[in-house]
Amino acid sequence: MSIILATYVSYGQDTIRAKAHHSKYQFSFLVGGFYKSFFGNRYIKPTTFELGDSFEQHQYERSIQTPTGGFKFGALVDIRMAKHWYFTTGMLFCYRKDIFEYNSDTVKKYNNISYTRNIHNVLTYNYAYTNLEIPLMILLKLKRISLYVGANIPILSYKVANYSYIIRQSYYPISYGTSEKTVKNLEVPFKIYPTWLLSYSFTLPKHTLEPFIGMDFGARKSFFIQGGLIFTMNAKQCTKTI
Amino acid sequence: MKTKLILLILCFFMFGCKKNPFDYRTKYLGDYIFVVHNSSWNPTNGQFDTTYTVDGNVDYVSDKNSVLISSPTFSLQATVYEDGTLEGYWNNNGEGEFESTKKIKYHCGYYWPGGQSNSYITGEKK
Repeated sequence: MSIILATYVSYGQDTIRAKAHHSKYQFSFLVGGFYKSFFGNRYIKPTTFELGDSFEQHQYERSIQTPTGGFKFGALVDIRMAKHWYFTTGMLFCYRKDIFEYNSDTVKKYNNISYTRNIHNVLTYNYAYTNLEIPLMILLKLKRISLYVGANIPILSYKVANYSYIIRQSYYPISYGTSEKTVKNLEVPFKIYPTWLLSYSFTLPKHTLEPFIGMDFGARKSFFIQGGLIFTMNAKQCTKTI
Repeated sequence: MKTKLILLILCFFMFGCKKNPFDYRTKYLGDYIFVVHNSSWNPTNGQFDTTYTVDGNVDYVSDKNSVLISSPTFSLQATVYEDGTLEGYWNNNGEGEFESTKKIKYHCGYYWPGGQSNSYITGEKK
């Protein structure tokens, strides 16, 4: 049984690879998940506030970034440039999160807590982004191993921002409470996620499956460890030959 | 050719309009219907209250962190933060917030030895 299966898989691999080597475009689907982590300490150290600095430059200082999860899926197209070398682009849907948390005593100490909720007394910034991203990558294919290096560029983002605040409830005796607010918006982000992926291909008669691992790099020393599958369709049906 | 055309159309949508898609203030801009409640007190005339509705808008100003909240009867400039918090300038001593991308509330008050005046503005995007 195993000999028959091995022969079947081997035949498929040879057929697909022979076709793929002559094709200029190779279409595939990608699905994967990722875990956001950080290089070094997750605490964002305060920097000196200088005259003319905007609020945004110091907004997340003294907060702690929280590890989060996410996922991505979408379509890719590999465009053959030279032997072994391809340019890969496509369209991906990505769900990413950013969370910045403060200690309530830190907020009370450094900010002037008011009776109304405002950005100066935020306890937690919780952002969820559903992005439409365009990957722009160089692909090196060596036999079964593929190495993608490039960047994912978000072009449209549905951002859900949830803010939790600490607010003053009374002055004498002094007491505090919390408040919350959610702002949802479709926006064009100004971000780039440098990325790399490493995959190994298992070829079947009509499809190629490529499990992959990789990493996206984000702002503030963050990175996204990722893994998943790249599913390539039948080369004969879905490629345009040169 | 087809690719260039698509890129050109994308550029038109991204940069061809007045509203900058990269600016966090953009989501709060637009035409609003404001309800203004003015309340004042002084020893000569006593308490005075009036409420009226007026059309106006929220727009950019040259300061990259501020918006102009204006109507035929008032004009206020305030710093806006990404969560919608509004912080008035020294001359209107105000505070408020965009409760959502479609709702605004703002309060400014003036106090002097012989009296006080307060304006409470709420607005909804048209």
